[in-house]
Order: sequence, then C-alpha cells, then structure tokens
Amino acid sequence: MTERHEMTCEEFGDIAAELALGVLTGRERAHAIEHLDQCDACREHVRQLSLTGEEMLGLLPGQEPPAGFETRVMGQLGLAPQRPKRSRRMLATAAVLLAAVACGLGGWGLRGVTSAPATRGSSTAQAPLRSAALLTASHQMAGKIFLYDGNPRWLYMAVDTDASMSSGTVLCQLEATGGRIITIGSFRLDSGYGSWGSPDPVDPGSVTGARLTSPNGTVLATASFTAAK
Amino acid sequence: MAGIYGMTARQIAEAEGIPLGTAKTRIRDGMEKLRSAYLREDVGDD
Repeated sequence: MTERHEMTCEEFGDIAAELALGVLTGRERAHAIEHLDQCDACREHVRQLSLTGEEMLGLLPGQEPPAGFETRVMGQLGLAPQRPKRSRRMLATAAVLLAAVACGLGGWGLRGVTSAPATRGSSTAQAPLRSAALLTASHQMAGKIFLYDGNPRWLYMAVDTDASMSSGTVLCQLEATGGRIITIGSFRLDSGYGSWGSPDPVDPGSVTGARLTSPNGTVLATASFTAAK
Repeated sequence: MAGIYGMTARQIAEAEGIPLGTAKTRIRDGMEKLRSAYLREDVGDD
C-alpha cells in the first residue's frame, strides 16, 4: 500500500493558476482542493488569481468583433479556434491577453501592419497597465486604448463607433511628452469597428495621449492618459 | 489561452507543440505577472 502524498504549498503554487482559471482537471484538481481546505495562505492566493482572471475578462470590450476575427487571430497564432469561456466578444482582445496570460508563448501574432517601434526609454513607477477612452470631437465614446509597461510591452486599441466612422484604414498615433506624435501602426475599421495590438510600442511612461486618425491626417478620436503617479 | 478559451495545460501543450510542464509553467507565470500588475495598479489607485 502506498503512502498518501500531501500536496505542499510549493506544489500547489505550480497549479494554483490553473485551478483559479477553472482548467485544472482530475486528480490534480482533487489534491489542490484538498490542500486548500487546510491552507489559508493558498486560499488567499487562489482568490487573488481568480480576481485577476475576472479582471482580465473584464478588460474585454463589450461589443462583437467583426465576422471572422476569431479565425484570423487564431490562424495567426497557428491555432484552431477553441470554445470560448464567454461570448464571442471576448475574442476582440484575445490576441493581446493571450500574450499576457501565456507570456513567452513565442511572440506576437498581431504585429501591426506599419508598426515602427521607437527606442525604449527609462521605466516609470506608474501602474504597468493603463487605459484611456477614445473620444470623438463631439465627446462620443469611440473605443479604448490599453498600454502595458511590462515585459513585453504592448499596446491594444479597440474601436467601436456604431458605424459613425466608415470602413477603411486608420492610424494609431501616440502623443509623447513634449507634444511629439508617433505613428505606431495602422489597422482597418469595418463599419466603425476594429481592434489592433502591437508589441513594443514607445516607452509607455512618456505617453500622454493617443489619437486615431485617417490616413490623410484627420483626427477621428483622441485619448488622454492621466499624469504619471 | 487558459484564461480566455478555457484550454487546459494539456490542450495548450498539444496546440503549441510544447511539453506539458512548459505549458503549465507559462500559465502560472503569466497569471502571476497579471496578478502583480493588478496589485500594483490597485496600490497606485489608492
């Protein structure tokens, strides 16, 4: 008869994220839950990871991506589309969040078409993940932009204008300190909707705002980041 | 992949062609980085 192995906190730590995400199965899950019954610290750890998972899903935009978006993203990642945990709208940010969740899975699948990363500067002490609303000249919500100052750095822009912006190519520009405008890349809007991500943008700490412009330079929407803390 | 699509470590390993242990490590490390990021953000918002 074999002696029963009690899971240690270190062993639990290796699978805590899977448990929190609800993807742990079989005997591992049973042992993990058994460990949680007797370990307050690991219970708190899983609680934080579960909240993180919820926060991550909460970042997903509240609109449906264009038809075929999932297939294109998963195709670029070399994967077959999988069963989403929530509605299809989540897929709009999947590319960026996939990279964050599975850091190190081998780089980016959503490199911007005209991405031109600038030289990295010094890091800052502000929160690594910042977001700002994209507003039209009439102060209508046009989308949201996310900047992540981690490793790797990334930028993600989601646009939904209820078709007030026609289909076509738009440019993503960042406003840096001193008023410098840097074009990061371009992507396509489909009936006013589109999303785009890019790794390695400029030093996020120097970014004060963002602009969505047409190829001829017309500013369609702007975003303003709060001052560094 | 685990967080958005609910893929298990084994499914991710098969899809990516990587060892199961590597997939599990990446899930763990990715979530830990996100957790740290959110914790820092919460502190910054206080």
